[in-house]
Amino acid sequence: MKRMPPLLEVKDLIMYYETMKGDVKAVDDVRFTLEKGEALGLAGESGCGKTSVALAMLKILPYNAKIFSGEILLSGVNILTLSDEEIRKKVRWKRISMVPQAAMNALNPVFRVSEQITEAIILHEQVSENEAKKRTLELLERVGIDPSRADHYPHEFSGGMKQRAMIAMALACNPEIIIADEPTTALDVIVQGQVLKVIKTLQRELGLSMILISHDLSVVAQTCDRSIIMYAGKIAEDASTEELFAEPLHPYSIGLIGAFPSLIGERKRLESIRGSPPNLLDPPPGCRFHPRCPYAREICSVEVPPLLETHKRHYVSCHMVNKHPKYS
Amino acid sequence: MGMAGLGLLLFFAVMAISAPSLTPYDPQYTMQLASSRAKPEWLDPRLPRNTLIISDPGFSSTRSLEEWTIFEEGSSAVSWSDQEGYPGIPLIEEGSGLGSFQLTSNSLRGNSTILMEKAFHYQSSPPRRFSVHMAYKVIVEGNATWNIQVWVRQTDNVVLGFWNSSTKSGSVDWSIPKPEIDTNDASLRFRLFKDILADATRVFPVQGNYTLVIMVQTNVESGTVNIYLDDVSARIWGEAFGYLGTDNYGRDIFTQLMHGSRISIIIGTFSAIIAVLLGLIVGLVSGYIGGWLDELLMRSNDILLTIPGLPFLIVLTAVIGPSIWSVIILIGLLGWMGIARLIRSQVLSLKSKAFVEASRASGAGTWHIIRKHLIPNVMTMAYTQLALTVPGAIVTEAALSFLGLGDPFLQTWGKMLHDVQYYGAVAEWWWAVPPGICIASLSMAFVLIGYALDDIFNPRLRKR
Amino acid sequence: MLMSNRELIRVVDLHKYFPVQTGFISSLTSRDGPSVKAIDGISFSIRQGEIFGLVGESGCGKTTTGRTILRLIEPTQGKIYFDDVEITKLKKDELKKYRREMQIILQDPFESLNPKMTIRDLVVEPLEIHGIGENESEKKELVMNALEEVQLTPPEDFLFRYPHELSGGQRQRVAIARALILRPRFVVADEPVSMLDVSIRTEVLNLMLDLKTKLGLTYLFITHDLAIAKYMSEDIGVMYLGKIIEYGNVYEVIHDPDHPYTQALMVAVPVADARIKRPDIPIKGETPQPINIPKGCRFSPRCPYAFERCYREVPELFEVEPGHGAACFLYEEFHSGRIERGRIPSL
Repeated sequence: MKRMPPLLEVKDLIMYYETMKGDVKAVDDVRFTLEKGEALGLAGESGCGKTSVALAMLKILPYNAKIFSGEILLSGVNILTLSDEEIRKKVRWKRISMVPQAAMNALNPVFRVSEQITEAIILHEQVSENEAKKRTLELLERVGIDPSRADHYPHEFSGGMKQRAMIAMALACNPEIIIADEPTTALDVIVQGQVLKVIKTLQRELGLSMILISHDLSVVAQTCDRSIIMYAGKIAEDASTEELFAEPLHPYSIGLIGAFPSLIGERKRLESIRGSPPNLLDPPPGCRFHPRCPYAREICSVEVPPLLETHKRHYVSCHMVNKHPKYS
Repeated sequence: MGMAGLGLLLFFAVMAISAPSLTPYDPQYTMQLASSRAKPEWLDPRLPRNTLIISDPGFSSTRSLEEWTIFEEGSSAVSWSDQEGYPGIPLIEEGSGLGSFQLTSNSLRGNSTILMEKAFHYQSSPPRRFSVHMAYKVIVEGNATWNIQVWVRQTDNVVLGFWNSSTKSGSVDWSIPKPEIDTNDASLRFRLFKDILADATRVFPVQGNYTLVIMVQTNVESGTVNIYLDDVSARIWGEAFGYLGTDNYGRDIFTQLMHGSRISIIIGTFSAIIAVLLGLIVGLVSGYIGGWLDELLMRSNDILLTIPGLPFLIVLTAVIGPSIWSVIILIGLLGWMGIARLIRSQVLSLKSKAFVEASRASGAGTWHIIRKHLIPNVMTMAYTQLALTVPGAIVTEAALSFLGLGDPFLQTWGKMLHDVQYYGAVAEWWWAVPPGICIASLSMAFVLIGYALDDIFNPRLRKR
Repeated sequence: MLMSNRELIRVVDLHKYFPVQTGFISSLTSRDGPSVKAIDGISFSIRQGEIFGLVGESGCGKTTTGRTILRLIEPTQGKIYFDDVEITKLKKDELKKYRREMQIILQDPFESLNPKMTIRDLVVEPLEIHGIGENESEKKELVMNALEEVQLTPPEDFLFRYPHELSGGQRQRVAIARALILRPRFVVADEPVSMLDVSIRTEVLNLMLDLKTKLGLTYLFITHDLAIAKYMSEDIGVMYLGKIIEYGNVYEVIHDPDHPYTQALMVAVPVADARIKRPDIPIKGETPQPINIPKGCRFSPRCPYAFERCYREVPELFEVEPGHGAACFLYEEFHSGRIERGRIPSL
């Protein structure tokens, strides 16, 4: 049976930030796909480029970001070529929406929460105000906020509630894809669990595709079907979550997963990855991870390893892995 | 922007430093350099410049007589004497020392009349003031009379008699004519022209050849008469002088402008330093120690803030008496409040910073933290505030001087403006405008520097 | 071998209330205004050579506890003992001597270093405060040793750099070097790695473990991350709204939590293994602000097992097993036979 074309395809995306000190090579040749109804995790440390990829999808990049090459295909249409007007009318919030980082701070403190969500609906859809209000209450209920509290001001909401309100706002126009950027970072443990549960439930119930960006691998492990680990602007490994965590292949993935102390299981000494993430103004030649990699060979400092499919829908960019007889 | 400020400041600093060498006159005390309210020389080339008719008024050597044309009638002996010289008048004017013109007459000779003439060519527009200075001493031994007169012969041979000693018979020690021979003297003008409102334009109305004549007459019955003349100078006062003319007292305005920069910079920076130091101390103590001390200091701050600055300063200078130091200290004492508040709020935010907490955890005491952690982190704000406070101090001082409350012995830019206004010289723009421009530019220099410092020290304000 | 039974730190009935800003007049007239009860009566002890983890969500009072033990914040009530000496009431000069023995490592690696000071100045500061080191070269020696100890090598390279030139992990090492240069016996580590990148955290945590062994240190390790608490600590205490609601050996508390709140915590923490499915969190709502502490057991409004007594009385810590206690009436009731075992919640 022919597989359905993916809902979203990022192809060979290269994007730099121009700064006074030079070009920061934030996203360098990134490529992945997102199927309908799939939850994809983009994981990696700060500065690896995951947020930049998400911003590129909605074309809300800062003014000094330049997309050099690549395509972002939404149902086959390259949205990078669309005009600002078309993106605003057809893509942003209607087909792809986003819950940004520290979203709870994105609520305007002088407006009621319901007003802000209603405004988002009216801006994008041709509906009457009453209909928008009705829909707002529906959305808030879906994310677990009692409709009686809809007319409160943001400061009357707790952190978790604000986050869930932002999720409601992102769902306002029934998008197909929702991007959640560090949705749980500033939250307490229990609240984090509640929010993640809401996200997961919604995704299943509404058949949403989701891209969840987080530096916390355990969050990605609990919520996503597939996971991509990024390092220094490039993709290190792209696989289903189960496979990735059961048997990570890329040395960085191994190191990163190994660096997370686990709540479950015996306590054993964790191995750290030596060194620190590179400066993207002047990244190392060849494989960007090679200065920290315990398995690096000469070729790693010379040639950039391509992202190759090692086995079914499992991609790794590492010379050692790619050349291993088991995977080539 | 900062470079522009620095450039301006450098300009004024150079002005301040080189003022004494560029301008040989004292801005306050060197008066009567030219006619009062003389215009700048570049304004009108036809205006008369200071003309000293006699090259060597002090008769310094035997050759001094050569510039005079001497007509003798009768038989007196004219010579140069090195025995006598005009000693001057204590505290008023200096004499030129030994060396004088001597005329000796005796009974064998009878009457004699000497005419000392100095011819000169005058080719500017008519001057407003002309004066002649002469010192004379007469020693009569025996029975004789003498008479000295000073004339000016005009181009058409009309003679103006400026002074007549009238015939005298006794000895006279060194004296000068009273009243002084000066067209500014109303009685002379009236005597000469029958018109009080006349001035030296009537003496030199056209360009041409004029002669200064000194006539000495003696009539010796018996004995000897020795007449000595010294410090003989005649001056056509310039109507144009220097780069910026003169003020009401004939003081060089350009000098005043140059020297004013020194004072303004000194007053500005010292007052600002006092204000910033006070503000720093109060802000640090208030912010870090807090408690009742903080309340006390901030309420005093508030009270002082409500006092209107300039009126208060006016009252204080009237009470204390105007002097440059009281002005500096007072401006400083009234300028620390805003700075203290700024520093205090920065200290408050620093106080809760993690590195201060870490220091306390290491056992640091209050003074250690103030010294090592707070002061270095507030100094950037202090420097910026210093630069931004100076202009206020400069303008305040100018305002005080303009109102006549500044130090009366200092010719500051504000005082210059006061003079302009006081003497009604508003039309003389070369006098009225430069001090104002200087005040504004110097203040601007500090403001630009202050803003540039703010940009440097506050990276969040910088563009990407 | 590393843990004696001697108690280095003993905290007895510690309270810290922060008065809330009211109007000017009422602050003059009333004494007992509303206050934030950040710490509301906790008692625990830390044995010499052990790492005691203090865990809880934000607002539970763990950070305040760390600072109060060091008297960076003055306790409202209660006693703190260091090596059997009561330090709660010491005067400033006496306290300064004890400051040498008790140090802190703070959370934010950038904010905890004065950006205008060089690394050398930062690390030498404690020496200068206490007058250690007779001359410059001796001090320099001590500083270089300290930098080597935290693996900032070669130390000469770092002496004259400024904090902004260093990475987050390096800055945190400087903070550790500064804390340890006085050779303290007790160190409070307040979320020392939560602002560091994940791959750097392990390094710093391992460094702290190694230094503990090498220098015979005792730690109070404050964190909201339970996995890190498990990695580092021997015993932990779980705080909720200013009280310790469970304590015990870290394995026991994590794998067999007694208090319903602890159970919810353990369930909520995500795990980096996709194969494990976590059960649902049994509690609702969010932690209230410490200014509106519920009456009775502070957890009762959210607790699925709460019964009538919980809303009336405040439970004290009850030792469920030797060395493992929870502040929950369920255990007391079970112990005295008033309820059955089936009512005891477990994971």
